[in-house]
Amino acid sequence: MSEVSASVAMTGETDRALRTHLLRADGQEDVCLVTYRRSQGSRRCSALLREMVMPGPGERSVHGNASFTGEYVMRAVDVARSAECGLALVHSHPGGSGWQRMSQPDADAERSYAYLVAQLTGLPMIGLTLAGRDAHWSARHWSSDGVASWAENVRVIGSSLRTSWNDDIRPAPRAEPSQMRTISGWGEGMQKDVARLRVLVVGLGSVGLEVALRLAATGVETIGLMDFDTVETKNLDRLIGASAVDVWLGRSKLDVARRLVTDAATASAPRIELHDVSICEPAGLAAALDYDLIFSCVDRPWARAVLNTVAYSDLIPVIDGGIHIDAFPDGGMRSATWRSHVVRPGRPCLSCNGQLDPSSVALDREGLLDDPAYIAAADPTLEPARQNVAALSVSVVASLLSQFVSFVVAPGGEGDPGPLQYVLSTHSLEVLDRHSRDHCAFEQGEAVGDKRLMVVGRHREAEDARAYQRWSARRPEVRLGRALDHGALVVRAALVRLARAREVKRDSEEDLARAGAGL
Amino acid sequence: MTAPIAGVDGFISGLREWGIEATVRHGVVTFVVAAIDGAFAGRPVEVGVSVDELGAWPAVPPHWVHLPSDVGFVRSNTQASEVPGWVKHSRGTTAWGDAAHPPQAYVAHLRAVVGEAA
Repeated sequence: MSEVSASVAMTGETDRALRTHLLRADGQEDVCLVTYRRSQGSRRCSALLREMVMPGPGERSVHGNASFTGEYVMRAVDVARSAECGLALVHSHPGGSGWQRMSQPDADAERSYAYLVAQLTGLPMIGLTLAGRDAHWSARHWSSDGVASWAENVRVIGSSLRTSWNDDIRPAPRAEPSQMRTISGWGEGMQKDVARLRVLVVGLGSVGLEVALRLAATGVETIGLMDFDTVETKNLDRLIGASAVDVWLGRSKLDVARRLVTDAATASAPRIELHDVSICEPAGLAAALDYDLIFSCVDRPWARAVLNTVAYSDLIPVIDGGIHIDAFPDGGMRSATWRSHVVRPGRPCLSCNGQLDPSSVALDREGLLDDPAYIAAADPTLEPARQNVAALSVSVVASLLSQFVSFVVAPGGEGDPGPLQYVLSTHSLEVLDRHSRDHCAFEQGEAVGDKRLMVVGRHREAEDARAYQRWSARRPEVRLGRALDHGALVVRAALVRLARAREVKRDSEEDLARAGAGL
Repeated sequence: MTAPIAGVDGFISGLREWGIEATVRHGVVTFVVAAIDGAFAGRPVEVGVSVDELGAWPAVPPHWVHLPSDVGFVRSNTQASEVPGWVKHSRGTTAWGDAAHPPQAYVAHLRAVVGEAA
């Protein structure tokens, strides 16, 4: 958890504009300067591209290696400084494909401006290269003393998530025999892309836990799990895999999820990252900024407001959804609906989509939505809906994961479908006609990075939950129970390792046998 | 896309654009609005919102409306205000999020709140 990495992200709109400028009809290299904002996570620093500063007449030459004048750089620096931004130097390799390395002239040109740009903007200069043959991006962050740190990826957030990978820093994982059926569905190349994504699941209730399990089974190597809650008896109908033992031992949802997700993982070296925090806390937000994509499996307004902010301010797409059970007051079910949507630039935010009431965020932040006295005196309809049905929560999971596949894999070239709603009573799937509002403050904060709205703060519910878990862990019966349970888990983990080793050995033997038989 | 000035500074500068001067005291942004009807119709009324509630302004509006204790309501969910002699009232906005000028929309909300005062 200690390494520091770098990345770059841009919207599909910025990507299109840059490609239009940089990939010339005459096949020459071209160059452009772009402002960016920093998005600093706990381990990763991302540069979010914002405004293109186009070269004026005489400010650059495009014959052979593109070159540019100092006046152009200084003009762009002024634009960047006035917008409290850093500056990125972008150029194209029209005949290139894949992650581009720098030629000596490229490196010299970028290094020569790194110190100046860092001094004048206060932020490191970013270098980007666009490969003309496959629109692959590559990037590096320059220190002021002229040392380049390569980015782990460059992400384009459009109708689909297009990620250019640096194979040296994020090597493609080996395809595993247990992933054979999945790979046959979308190909080995796509599997390499999907498996390398850093995906965070916020909220490990019935939906979040199942989403995390499916991601692990798919072969996603790095999965972040975030929750501060403890398993309770009322959760057991939906937390499949959790048991009365977990309730008795005061286990956190995070611990249960780690156990189950580790078991379900098909990657050879899965990395399950645990975040015992709330997304509403500064530490939760910082952790979230290290990921490429987030699943929002929370239903509270404050948490959803934070995620809604991050989707635009930090260009981290958020896949969100939920279920509403329409129950008669005297018992019985009228209907149920579940929704799913990808929250990202170009799609309506949760507030515009009718899935977040901004005016309820302040109440949630103060814990008043859990205060019966406040609700009784204010408005009984404020009480959060508690209904859920174990048999239906998996439908929300399916809907979220379908959005994930559409957004990441883009079957048939189509990206995410927009907001979807399934109505149980009529068994109809609707594409909801929702649009961004003209003055939405969430969406207007696109790519502002660390200048985002200050929506996080102290979360007393999370603090209380962690305090309870610490207290619970000190009780003698819990300590004894956990020790026994841990022993059983160690034995099981050893069995799993043994089984996997036998599987690898058997596959090798079968390969040898086939080779011997000339098959 | 240009982000609006956010947070408490954005709130105060937004009010100023509409001719309303605000000051911060005891962690509360206070200013004066004119009631348009009700018991205080035609009279200026001091109002306030907590600085702590303005971190995500204008995406997230403040909930609590701070008022001098002589401005009361027939029914209200209240807590003590940080401003001595004031009370804060639970008064949520509705349909928030599409105002071209959020301070104007929020002042309209406050004027409606004050208009209900007894």
